[in-house]
Amino acid sequence: MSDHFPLHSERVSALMDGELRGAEFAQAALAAGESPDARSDWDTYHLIGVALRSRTADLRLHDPDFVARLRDRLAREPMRAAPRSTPVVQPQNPPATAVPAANDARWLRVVGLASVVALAFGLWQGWQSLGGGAQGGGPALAQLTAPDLADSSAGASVSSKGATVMLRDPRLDALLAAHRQRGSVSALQMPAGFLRNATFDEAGR
Amino acid sequence: MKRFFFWLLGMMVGSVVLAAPPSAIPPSHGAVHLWLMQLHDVTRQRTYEGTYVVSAGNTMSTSRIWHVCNGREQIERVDALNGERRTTFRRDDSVVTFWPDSRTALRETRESLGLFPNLWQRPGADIGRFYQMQRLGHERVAGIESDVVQLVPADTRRFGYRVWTERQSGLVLKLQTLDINAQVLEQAAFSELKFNAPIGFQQLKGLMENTQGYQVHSPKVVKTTVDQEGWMLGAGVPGFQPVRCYRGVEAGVADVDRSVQCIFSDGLASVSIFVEPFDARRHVQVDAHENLSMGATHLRVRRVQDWWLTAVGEVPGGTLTGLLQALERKK
Repeated sequence: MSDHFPLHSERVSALMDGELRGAEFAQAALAAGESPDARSDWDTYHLIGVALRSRTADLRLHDPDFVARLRDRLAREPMRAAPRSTPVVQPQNPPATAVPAANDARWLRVVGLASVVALAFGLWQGWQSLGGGAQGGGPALAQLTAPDLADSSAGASVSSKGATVMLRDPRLDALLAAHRQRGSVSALQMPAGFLRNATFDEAGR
Repeated sequence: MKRFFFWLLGMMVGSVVLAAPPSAIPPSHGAVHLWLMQLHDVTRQRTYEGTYVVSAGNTMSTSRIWHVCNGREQIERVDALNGERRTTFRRDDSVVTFWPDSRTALRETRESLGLFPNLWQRPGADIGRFYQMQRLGHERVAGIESDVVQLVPADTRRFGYRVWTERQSGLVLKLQTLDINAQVLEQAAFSELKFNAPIGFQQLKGLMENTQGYQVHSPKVVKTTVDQEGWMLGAGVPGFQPVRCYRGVEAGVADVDRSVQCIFSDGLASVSIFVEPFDARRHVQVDAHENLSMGATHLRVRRVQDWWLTAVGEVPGGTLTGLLQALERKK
């Protein structure tokens, strides 16, 4: 079989750093997609990178079960091709060593689709939480709430036409912060309101 | 399961009420007002240190609190223990917030902290008319004996409150905001409290004033009025009076800087209405999700011609809608 199996940690690191080219890159990327150990290394290295760049210590690995379910759901979603009429500008002679970039059109479509699916999950979950769904139905899907969103203080639960989703909008964060700072006019403000507002976790300030 | 939970909650609330039958005090300006004055004054008399917990919606935040008074002034330090590191100091109505991770600080004067009790002595600002006070009995909070009082709203335009105060001094130990069915929307309480903490006024003052190494921001706002901004205020919602309007709210987002913030209050609940130019790119998303809430805080939006109004407040959504409808652009 392939010389590159199993994919060693060094090669995962090289793959992450963009050091692999051509066939090496293709084989490593394939192996990383198939090997749970390689994926675990991939996640750990990314977490280390985020930890080094982050100002806060609130970091966690993503839930592999969540990713697996999302991937499975994505695979079952109908993938629509880009309309033919849309002009796609591509280099005439792309260099052989081109590394797939985050703004690649295909990747963007996948990201777009992923966000649509994530929103659909959110809406579905909100509908369930409001009693719209069958009692106790779909436990696997019910676990798909992103923990970061649920933890976000600035996230608000949105009820609209029977649906509840978590919304995080910097502008609404700013308005909520302005309301807490200047708009809390209450006779209960001095003994308790100020402490309440100062204690609130105002993420995103 | 959900029914059982509500049944259980009902039984718990019921048992508290049955243990100490509420003695309804006639709705009068005096009773509620005097009681609120006592709550207000006690913060000028006690020095304490404790842990404070706030839960709203599905979030829970905790902070460490030091409160010192020298008989004339009071100073307070609040260290948020959740999310990004943050320390807030308050000396009467002066507030400085430090974010050590980003080495930034916000210095501001919160006029709202100094508004009580003067504001509520104005005509029409009668808390007793819209809230009835009931004494529910006694309970222990953070190991301290407390009196429990419920402020029952006179209508469905405002939420109710249940307040636990230390029996000796009247310090608020716990506060619940209740919806129109008396279910808890959010609550804030000391989980631990020590009186006469060994910390000095000057010590906290020194920390509050030491902004060395921090980039200090001060929000630039100017006072304005609904009328000056080209708006008319209709009947609105009974009890909710316009309190203040500010222009140039700096809250961290450049686009918000142009907005006008008008504050309304019935004495206990408050609402901010933000007015900004309509921007189809930014506002459509919020329009799609028209009903937002987190704990007791609700949000409603309304478009008026080329303007976008956002109402935020610790009141039922209908009250926000009523206040939004009361604002009309002058011809």
